[in-house]
Amino acid sequence: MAPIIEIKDLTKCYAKRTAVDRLNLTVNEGEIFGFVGPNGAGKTSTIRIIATLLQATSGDAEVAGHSVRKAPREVRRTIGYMPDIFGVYSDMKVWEYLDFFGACYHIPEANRRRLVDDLLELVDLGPRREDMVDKLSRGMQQRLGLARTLIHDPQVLILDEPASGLDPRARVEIRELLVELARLGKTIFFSTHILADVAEICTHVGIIEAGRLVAVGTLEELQRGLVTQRQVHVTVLDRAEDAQAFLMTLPGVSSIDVQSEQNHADRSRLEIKFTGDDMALSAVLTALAARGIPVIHFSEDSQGLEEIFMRLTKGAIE
Amino acid sequence: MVTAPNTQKPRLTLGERLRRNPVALKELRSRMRGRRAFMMITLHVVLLSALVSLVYFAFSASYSTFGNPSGLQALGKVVFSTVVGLQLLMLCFIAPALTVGAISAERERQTFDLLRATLLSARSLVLGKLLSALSFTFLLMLAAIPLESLAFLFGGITLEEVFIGSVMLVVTAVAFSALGLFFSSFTKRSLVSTALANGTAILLVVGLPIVLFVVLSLMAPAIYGFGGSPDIDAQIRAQTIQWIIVSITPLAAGITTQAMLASGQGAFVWSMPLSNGNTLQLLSPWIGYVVVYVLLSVILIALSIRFVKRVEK
Repeated sequence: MAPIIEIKDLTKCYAKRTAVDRLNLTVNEGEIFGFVGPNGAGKTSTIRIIATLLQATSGDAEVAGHSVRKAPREVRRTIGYMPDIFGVYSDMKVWEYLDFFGACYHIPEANRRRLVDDLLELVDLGPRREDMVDKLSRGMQQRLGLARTLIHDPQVLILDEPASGLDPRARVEIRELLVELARLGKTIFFSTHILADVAEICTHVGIIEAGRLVAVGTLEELQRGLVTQRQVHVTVLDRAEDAQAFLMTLPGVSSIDVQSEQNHADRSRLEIKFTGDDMALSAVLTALAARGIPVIHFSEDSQGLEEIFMRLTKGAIE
Repeated sequence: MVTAPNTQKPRLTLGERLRRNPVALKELRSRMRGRRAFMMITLHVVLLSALVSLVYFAFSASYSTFGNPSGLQALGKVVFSTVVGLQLLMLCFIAPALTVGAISAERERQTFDLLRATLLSARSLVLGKLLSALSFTFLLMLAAIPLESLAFLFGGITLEEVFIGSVMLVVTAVAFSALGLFFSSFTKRSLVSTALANGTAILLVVGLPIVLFVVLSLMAPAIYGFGGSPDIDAQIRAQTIQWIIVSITPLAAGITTQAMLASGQGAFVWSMPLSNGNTLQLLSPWIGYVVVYVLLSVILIALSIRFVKRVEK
């Protein structure tokens, strides 16, 4: 895959602090890239520089080969940008909002009506076409914002905290929409501090703290590199103590925490810390079954990203 | 046969420009939506009518105008001057009021970034805002035409007066709209741009005549030669300063021009007598006014575009 966003030695200094500190980052075509970091880590500054809205102190960023410094207009043509706050024109209808931004991208009037209808359909706002923008719920406004970023069919979507402030249903809807857009061939670069979103949909993750990139790669790469101990969750029927004693004899198992399930007295949940590869983990399940212990659930906990995040960031900024 | 592509841009009328500029179209649509625009036009016309009625009754009560053609003509002139003068004064405050939020409100609503991230140029954004505000201002002016027409019933209005009055109104509308836009283009809050625009308008309308009064008072001994002979050079200096200040003060330029026309001077030259019997001839204040305010408009619009174009540092 060819690189579509290349950030080179990007630095942004404000009067009293350095928001982005010699950041280097490459995002390839087709990726859903989660840009993760605590508040004040430099995510928004980086995104605003890529969106040509903020001048970098030094370094450069290129989108589809166009420099944000030298060819901002070309960059604007290539990206769809959504800020962390939805800008509302209180006196506009939903279709007028999209039509207006379509006109701002010089899309001919004759094509706009059809385009607006298609986009409203895509973000499931077709029936709200004639409603006033400020009467929409936060989630709907966010979906409308996403439709706006798509109006000129950009290659890359640059989204700043697209899911912040949304209720759980709206968050899931936005997440699904992002996956759908990636399927349609868009590269998605979005910042977030909601780790569940990243774990759910991102193909790649970059973790930033105090303006510096502390880790980048696929989720698996980060997990492999940083998490030495895997956390495995096993639920057994009745023979919890037997299972615990047996598991402790197996290689790779370092500790076990047993909890009984409140609604099912016969079930016990075992949290196992395990070191070893996938084959070794599968051998644990085989051994439990061979010993005749009734296992009804066996899974590796996907808490990995939070652990990675906690390990990598020092929590210096908040 | 291969023909060269037609690279010349088609000349667009104001209406076409409005339709093609997304910002102008959006603004007009929003402005005319609901009752706000209707109320504003009504209020404008009612206020003007009330003031014109007051002048009409005051004038007709003090003059025996009816059955006296010259009296009627004088009444016509008074009504016309009142309507144009009041509009000129109101424009100094209404025109910037329609543009002070143009850019700063986009910043407040957090939509400025959205617009700047599109392919919309800073020029289109600024001109779109200006065009939409101006078209509403012109609508207000059009709504006052029936009141001006009242003056024509009495007669006494010359074509020159109508022309000069209209040109001054249009230039004032453009310049003061540009003034509001200019302050809006670099402030983050509309409240600040409103204060700056109103402050400047008050300075131009009220402050400059006060400055003139003070300057002329200070120069009075030399001009009139109290305790000595009058100084011709001081007189020329004073008259020139007076000409400059009158030419850049909206209402003063209008009133002086109207007074000149009424006294039988031409529309282009302002003759001021000097104590040695000569006259100092300067351009009519309305010409100075038009030149200064057209230039000011161009500068303010160019600066607004520059401020909007600026990438945040």
